[in-house]
Amino acid sequence: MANLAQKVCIVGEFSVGKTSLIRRYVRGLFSEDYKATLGVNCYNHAGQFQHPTTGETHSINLILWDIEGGQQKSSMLNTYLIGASGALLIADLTRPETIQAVDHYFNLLESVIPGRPKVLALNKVDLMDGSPTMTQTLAMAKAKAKALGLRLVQTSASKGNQVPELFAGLASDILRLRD
Amino acid sequence: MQPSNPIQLAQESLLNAGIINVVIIDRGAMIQAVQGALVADWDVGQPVTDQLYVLAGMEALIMAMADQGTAIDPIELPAVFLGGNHEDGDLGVSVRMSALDGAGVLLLLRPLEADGAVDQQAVQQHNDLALLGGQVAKSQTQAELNMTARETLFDTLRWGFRAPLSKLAQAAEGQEALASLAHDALHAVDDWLDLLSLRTQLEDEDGLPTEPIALASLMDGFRASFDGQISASDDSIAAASGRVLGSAAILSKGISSILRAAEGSLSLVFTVENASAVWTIRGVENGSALVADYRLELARSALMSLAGSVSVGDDRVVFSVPLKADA
Repeated sequence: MANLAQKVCIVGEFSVGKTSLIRRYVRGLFSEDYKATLGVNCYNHAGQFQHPTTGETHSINLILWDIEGGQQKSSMLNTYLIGASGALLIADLTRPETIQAVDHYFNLLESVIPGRPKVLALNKVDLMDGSPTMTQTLAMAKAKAKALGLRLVQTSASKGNQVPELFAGLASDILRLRD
Repeated sequence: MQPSNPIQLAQESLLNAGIINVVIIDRGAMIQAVQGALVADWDVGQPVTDQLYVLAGMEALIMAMADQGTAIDPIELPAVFLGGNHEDGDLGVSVRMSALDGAGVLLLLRPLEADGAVDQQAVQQHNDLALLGGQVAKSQTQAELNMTARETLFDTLRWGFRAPLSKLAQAAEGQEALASLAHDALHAVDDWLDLLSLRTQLEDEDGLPTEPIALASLMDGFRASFDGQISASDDSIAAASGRVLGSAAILSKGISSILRAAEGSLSLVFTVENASAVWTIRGVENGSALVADYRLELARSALMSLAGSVSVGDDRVVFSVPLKADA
């Protein structure tokens, strides 16, 4: 039997680490160089994911849409989001403005795929230096997640922290919603 | 021989070269027909998502397009990189999906080739610039915060310390010991305010010590200020001329504060040692007391502004500022 294919969109401001998170997850790779994404990078990643209620393991092909960051093309974003089963919203610990921008992406997602699972990832946590600014940014991300009813996962594409958990968690949410 | 239909010939040429690629799918997203080099090996009768998994999740839209025809707007995906991204050298395509009245859905695929690379560079430059802009804005905010902190410090020194100390000094008139203490404290506050003010001035001028200090004038200033109290020697001043950079006022503030605090038969000697300009106050008899005197910290703070240092020995205090390398 063919695996279940589920489209997952990864959105957020540019340079927050969307591509890096996917490449870390799919290929176990990381590069310090920042290469801007043009349009959409699309990955087909087969994985085994546990149903959160039954505990059964399901084979799913995650069709990962790594979408060009920035708010300048929100009309195009609407098109990209069509048919997604879930989404990851990514923000950057070192740039508080990327957390403020989460509202924009959340609203777009709610308009195109209302009620579908979404998770907020705060990326680059390996750069946490304990400074008041970053501590404040982390608190801001927690508050944002709470306000939008999202689960917050603190990730590091560079070190790999919480990256499999991020994708597996969303896949489990998608499985639960299919019941 | 002239082709009977040049347009048809052109279409075939584009399809055969893979410049345009056409796929017809039915309402169930199954491939019905293909033409074009890129899609030549796609099997008719198979789900289109097996070949073009970017369409997974769009099955409902495909069905609606097939059923409702042109009532549904076409979908454009201008740049899709399958199985990776431009970094991997993967083929990028543009995908256009539109209703084919009464005959299913038409997919038009075109490779991005060189245009895609140019667009990626434009996005890259836009994002790089925006990131740099963000860093500049952050630095400005930090500078403004520093300025606010500095103004708060000034206000605290002026109104939180100086004003009450002035009142105390006035109220202590007639009580010699108490008045002396209050005046000493007032001098300390004034010294710090002076130094902070000078440092602020230096930072407002970019904080970079680029102006050479007129060393001979500086020494003349010490002779004039401490006339009869110290002997000043500056034989090696020519060797350092033009090579001590920074604020003469700050340097003077630092050295003067120790000249005032030090006791004994003092002499001030200028030398050049180990690529540094060195001022040594000799004959200091209260070296151990100086260690606890605020004026030593004041001098250290002043010299640090010039990347220099202060050290206290048994009978001397040494100020050192690195010399700019010879051109």
